[in-house]
Amino acid sequence: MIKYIFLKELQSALLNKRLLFSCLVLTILMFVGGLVSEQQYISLNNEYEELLLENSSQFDEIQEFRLFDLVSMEQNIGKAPSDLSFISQNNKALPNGIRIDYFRASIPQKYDSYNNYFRNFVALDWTNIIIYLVSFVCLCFAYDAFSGERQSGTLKLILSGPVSRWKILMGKLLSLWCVLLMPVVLGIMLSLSYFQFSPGIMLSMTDYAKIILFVLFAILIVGINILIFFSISLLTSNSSVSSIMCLLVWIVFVFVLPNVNWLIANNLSPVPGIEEQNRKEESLLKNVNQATWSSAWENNPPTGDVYKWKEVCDQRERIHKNVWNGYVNLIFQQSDMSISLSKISPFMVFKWINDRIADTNYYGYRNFYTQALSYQNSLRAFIHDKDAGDPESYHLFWNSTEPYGKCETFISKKILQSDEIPHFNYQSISLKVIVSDGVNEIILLLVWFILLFIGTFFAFYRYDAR
Amino acid sequence: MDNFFTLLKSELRNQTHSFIFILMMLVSLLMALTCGYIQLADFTERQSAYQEELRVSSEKQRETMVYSQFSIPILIAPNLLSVFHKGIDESTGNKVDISPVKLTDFQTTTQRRNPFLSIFSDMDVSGIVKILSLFTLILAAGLISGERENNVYRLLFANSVKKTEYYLSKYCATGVSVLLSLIVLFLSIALLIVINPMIQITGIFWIKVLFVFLVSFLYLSVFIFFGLLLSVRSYNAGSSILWGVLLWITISFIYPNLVSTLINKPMDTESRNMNREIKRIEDNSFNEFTSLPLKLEPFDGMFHMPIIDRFDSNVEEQRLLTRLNRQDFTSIYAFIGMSEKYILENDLARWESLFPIYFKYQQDIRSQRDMLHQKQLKQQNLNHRFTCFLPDILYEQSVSSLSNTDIAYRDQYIQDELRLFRYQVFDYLNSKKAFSEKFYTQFPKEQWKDNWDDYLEDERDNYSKKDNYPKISYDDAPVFLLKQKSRFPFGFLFVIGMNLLLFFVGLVSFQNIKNDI
Repeated sequence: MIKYIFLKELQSALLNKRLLFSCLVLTILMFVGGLVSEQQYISLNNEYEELLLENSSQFDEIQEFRLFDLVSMEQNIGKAPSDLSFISQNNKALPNGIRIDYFRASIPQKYDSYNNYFRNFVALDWTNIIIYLVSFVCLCFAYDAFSGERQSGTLKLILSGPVSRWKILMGKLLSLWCVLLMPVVLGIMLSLSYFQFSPGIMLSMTDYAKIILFVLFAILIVGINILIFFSISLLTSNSSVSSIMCLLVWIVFVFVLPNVNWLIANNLSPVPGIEEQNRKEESLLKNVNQATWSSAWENNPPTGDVYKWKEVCDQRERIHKNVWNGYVNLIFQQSDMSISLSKISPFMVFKWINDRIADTNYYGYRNFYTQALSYQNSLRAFIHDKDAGDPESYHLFWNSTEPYGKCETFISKKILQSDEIPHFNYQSISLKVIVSDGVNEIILLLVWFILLFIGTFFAFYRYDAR
Repeated sequence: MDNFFTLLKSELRNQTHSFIFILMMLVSLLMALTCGYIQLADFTERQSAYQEELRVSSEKQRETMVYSQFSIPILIAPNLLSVFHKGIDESTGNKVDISPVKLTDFQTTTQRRNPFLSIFSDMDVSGIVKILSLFTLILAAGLISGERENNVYRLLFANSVKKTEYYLSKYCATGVSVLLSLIVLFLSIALLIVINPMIQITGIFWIKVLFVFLVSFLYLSVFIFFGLLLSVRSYNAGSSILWGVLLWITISFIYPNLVSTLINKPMDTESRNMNREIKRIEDNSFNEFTSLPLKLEPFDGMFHMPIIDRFDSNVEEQRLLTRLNRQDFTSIYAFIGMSEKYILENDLARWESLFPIYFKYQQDIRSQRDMLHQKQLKQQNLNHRFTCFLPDILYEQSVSSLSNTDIAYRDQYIQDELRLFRYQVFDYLNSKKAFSEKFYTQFPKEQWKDNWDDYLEDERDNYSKKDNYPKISYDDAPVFLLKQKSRFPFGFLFVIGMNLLLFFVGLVSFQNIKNDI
């Protein structure tokens, strides 16, 4: 019987010209989203390759590359653009790089320039199309699913037959679900077949698995969407009232909650300005013992004065690290908090999990940041390794902020081969990590779905068809 | 006209009792209080950072010893009107140092935002008004079609009610409801501003707020007309409301975002090219300088001159000059004390040959940066060309030009003023003969002696100790006064035109429908 109702509802939906038209528009938009993001990916990738070239030319510029050159060299490393950015596009204003050397890691920053003048906009990628547009189309066709039928009297007619309420609900739900997923799946298929023939984006098997994961979440969010509007439709007896209520919930979930909640986080865990942080560092540095460097110490075995100098430099380094690591932690803390607060809306949960899948935006950067820091550690390990193998070295590393008093003559002076130096290589996030890190979001979506499903079922069970 | 007032009264009663109206009031009140509070907190924080910066930079100014350090810091105060429309008020930066070694590019000093929060959109008053526009559309779209649906309409026209009266009463009643929620919004923001002790307000501020209010109302009025037009064409309140929201989502969301998504291209290639070009210019200028047929004494590194100040080459501000002075040149820049005659004369010769090259170099860099700006602006202008007829964009444009947070004011106007002012500063410096030995030492030329031992005790005390060293006075230096520019928002006229057009189209199409349906 479910099958019968499902087919009947599907048929009536497919005969509805408006629904078909909106599906067509959505399909086209999904496809356009794919095309545009491919173009973006190509140009971003060119940028990234230039950055890599710039970095490697840094190594080649110096003819006799010694250990100290590696210690003092600042590398500008950036996150590779994600080839899955059609799922969720990276916000151009977000940081995507970091500068690191042996001693320090800078705060998150951009390795490319950003057009300040361009207006802020919501990129029409697959996630945003589902959040803003599929949800709206869903609203248009779900708001009077029950209240409309009740008003016109057909609901009474159906219920008078031998069909159970459970089956009617499932039939309606499944048919609308199928119809709404049609443009999503079609758009994805069209884009994917286009990517097959164009050289811009080469998708690997993991990428396909990630896209399948995206589709699964899309199915879930569309289901949640339908259930929200079904339950509102069941709570009201009049289709006009239910349309207004649905619109309201839609506005609140899609526009109001996601854009207001971060303001709370902004106030609850404030982040100081960069200038303030600079001043804090300066005032802390005043307490450090002053020391002067004598050039006579160079090229000689280290004396007590050298150790004293090293101690002062190390103290300064510790202060720098404390101040700026604390700052970066505060930034991450605030961002985490604003993201968690926005998870009240299931649409935002869907957005964050897609950011994880596409490896873009905040979560993409966090992934990059951990990798950059572990690269710094491997670089340090490499330097220590090389230095330990040299009997002539005194193994003294320190960072002097002044142009003089460097540790150059107290570490190994052996020449390095450029191919043995570790290079940063960005690894895009693996499926396992997405699932294990995003388990909160997955559970949240499932809970939303199950609760709404049970709620809708009970509401329909008790629904007065008169 | 008797009917009009009766209709208006009953319509007003209906609307003010409707659920959507109460909701609209609530939304505007709550959002005004939360967003207004947070925007104002952000503003006061920016203001205190601005004052702190003002203090620090004036302290720094007092320590100026030679003309190469000469710098007039100019800080653009945070704009209270940015609460209404943020625009590019913060992102472009707010500090410029007018000095011979720096160009007039903005630096951000009071930046307080976490960069990752740009994933969320910034809610200012214009953002709240945009959300209200959706409510307005929903409110207006069900009016006529709803009455047609439940047959009130037919009953009305059985009496001697004119269609114009009916249409106007509907518009006026909705207008009043919208006006009420706007008043709630603006009053709560005004209240928050008034009770905040940190904020001082000038007279023109309230006039501008009044204008913003007016523009907001006219913008919402466009949506009332849209709603009424859809309501006229439809027989069912539910469907006309949905068509209204579809219209809203198309003109306020899909179309502008689609255009931006299509036009937005990474500008990095351009900026990278610019950086490469700047590097080339630097190399050229440096080569030009080193190839000059100058008889320079070799610098042996054996200074018996006291070092009283060393310019911190790590500081970003000194970057321009220190990059040019890569090798032996740093020595001239670094020491500003007294020394033997031949060293000082040597330095003078170097500087005098450097100045023309250096100023040409600055001009080249300037033109490169301007080119990039032009390219970036071109992208936005292209975007604007495709969207300039949308009510949202017209509204944004009018409010940002009223609030002085748009590109034309925040970037172009201030930049032009700053460049003019920099010429003034250069004239002043020339009148002080700053581009001579005074650029790197205050030790008078006539007192230069061949041997270090020839100097008197007093001279050594005055010119070789940082605390005793004479400071440059800024008393007669030119002062930068930024004239607050009030511009007429031309987008405003288009919004009025749009209102009139929609009014007539709605009225005509209403006149043409049959009464008995």
